[in-house]
Amino acid sequence: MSQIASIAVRQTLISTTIVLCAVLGFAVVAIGTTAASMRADLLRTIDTDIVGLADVMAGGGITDLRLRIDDRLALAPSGGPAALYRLTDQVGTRLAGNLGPIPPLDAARSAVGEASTPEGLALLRATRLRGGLVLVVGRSLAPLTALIAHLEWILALSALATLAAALTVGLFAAGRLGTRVARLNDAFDRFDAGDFAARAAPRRGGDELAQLGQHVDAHLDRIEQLFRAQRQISDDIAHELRTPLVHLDTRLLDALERNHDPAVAASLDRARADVRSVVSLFDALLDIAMTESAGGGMTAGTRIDLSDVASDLAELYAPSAEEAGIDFVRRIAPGVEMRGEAMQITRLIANLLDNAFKYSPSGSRVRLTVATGPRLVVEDNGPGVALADREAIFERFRRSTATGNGHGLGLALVRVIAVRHGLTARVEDAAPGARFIVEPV
Amino acid sequence: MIVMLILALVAGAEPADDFTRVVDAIARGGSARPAARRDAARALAAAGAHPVDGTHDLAAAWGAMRTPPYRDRALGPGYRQIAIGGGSSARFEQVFLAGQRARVAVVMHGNAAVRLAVTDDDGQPQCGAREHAGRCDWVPLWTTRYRIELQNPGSAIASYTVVVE
Repeated sequence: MSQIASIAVRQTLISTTIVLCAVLGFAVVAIGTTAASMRADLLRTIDTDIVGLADVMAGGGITDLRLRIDDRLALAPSGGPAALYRLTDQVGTRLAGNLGPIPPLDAARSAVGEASTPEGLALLRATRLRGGLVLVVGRSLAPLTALIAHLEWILALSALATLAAALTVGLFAAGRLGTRVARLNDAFDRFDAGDFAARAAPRRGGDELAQLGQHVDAHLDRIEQLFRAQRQISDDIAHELRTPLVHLDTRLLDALERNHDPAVAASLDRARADVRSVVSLFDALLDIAMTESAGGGMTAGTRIDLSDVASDLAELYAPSAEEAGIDFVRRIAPGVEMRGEAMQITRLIANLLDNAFKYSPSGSRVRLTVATGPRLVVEDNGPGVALADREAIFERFRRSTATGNGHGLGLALVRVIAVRHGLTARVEDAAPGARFIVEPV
Repeated sequence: MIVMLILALVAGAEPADDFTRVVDAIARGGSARPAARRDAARALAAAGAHPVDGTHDLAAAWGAMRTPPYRDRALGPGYRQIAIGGGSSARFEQVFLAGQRARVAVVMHGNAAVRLAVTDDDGQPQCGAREHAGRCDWVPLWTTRYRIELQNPGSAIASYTVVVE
């Protein structure tokens, strides 16, 4: 599993992104509020200066006003934002101040604006005094700009530190969580592959994952017991039921050899056929049970050449097909490989071919196709499978309604083997006939 | 805020500004009810109203945080408390910025009446029609000192709060 696919890693990245957004949002608000507050303070300072100068103008006229402006420039305190003044007459001639021409500000409305000055960017207010004079008072924005730049650096470094800390802690926690979840998955994987001793073995007590691990182990214990019980039952059937039936068949054969009455011989033959039918039923059931209880899928099994397996099997079926008057067509692509167990795949193909030949009358055609994927197709042009039966025929003891022969276990075993190999088995209409397809999920 | 603005527009009313809120708060703060005084104090603090030249900080007195006084500056909403004897008058000066709306309102306490006059540094009246209602609203042509004069037409001493912006 890739790191990005991990829930814990994704949660860490989401949380980190949220934290980063929150820090950046705070930075924007903090810088914006600080800048607005400082700008408002600067404007209040300018207004206070204007009021003072307006008082000077009212008390002492333009002469005093020019003197006071010069005084203020001469006695300007160092360290603060530089003070800027410009007093002009009605034709725009500068009468006092240190400020050169500035972009037009509407003095009649005491407008406020920003302008570039030799002191840098400055906040200015222009206002009209009696007699057509225009007074512009300003303060340099350089300290404010420097402070904002300083704040931006501090907040950027804070954001980076927060991001690094959140990512480090989050990814460390995600890594630990991932390791513990991987132990659970590993236990399932090994158990699925046939290692019935595989357990998550979490520490006792502990957190939710430890409790989940204990549940996992308890269920694996239970599944192992069920597997062993099923095997025991299968072994019992094989040894306690199948063996007496074989003995019974032997005795029937012995009786048949000693008997000279044709009617009794016919009855003994039918009895032997019934015994063989029961034995084959047990064999089929045992096959299914053993396949299901073998433990684990075969997708991690040895690599087998499906083309070779199918070709060998087709060679065995070809004479029977010819004898039955069936056109047996083989389209087997060379070199198709898959992981699995050759014997089980052989059984799967054989069951499909048995099924096809069983429902194909003389003069019909059966086609076996093997293609990359792997994709295995057995197609006949017999009576086909009714739509309602296409899923049911893969269940145990279910037969097609077309004939009543067989135990109805062949296709059930096909599906069990297919599933163990990570494949699906299904049937579709071949118009006419049935097409059985086995391919990856 | 937006909802209040919409309601005010729907009702056809002019949205209240800081100056109006300060005038209303000072009028309400005269109430003897503590809750009304606390509400008025909060309104004064929220509007940024400041006491002018020695006047008590009404927001602090009525229960909100103390606000620094204004001195020698163009005002945001500011207020000054004045007591005037019967038939007497009081005056003070205030600088207003050219082209910026200037407003003066007198909040009368009790049954006191008042006559308000605002003149520029040339003695020219700035508002006449509404001065007897204790309100004056004008746009100064120049940035200069304006004289604000209150006259108590009654016979008894009366107290007023003058709000300027």
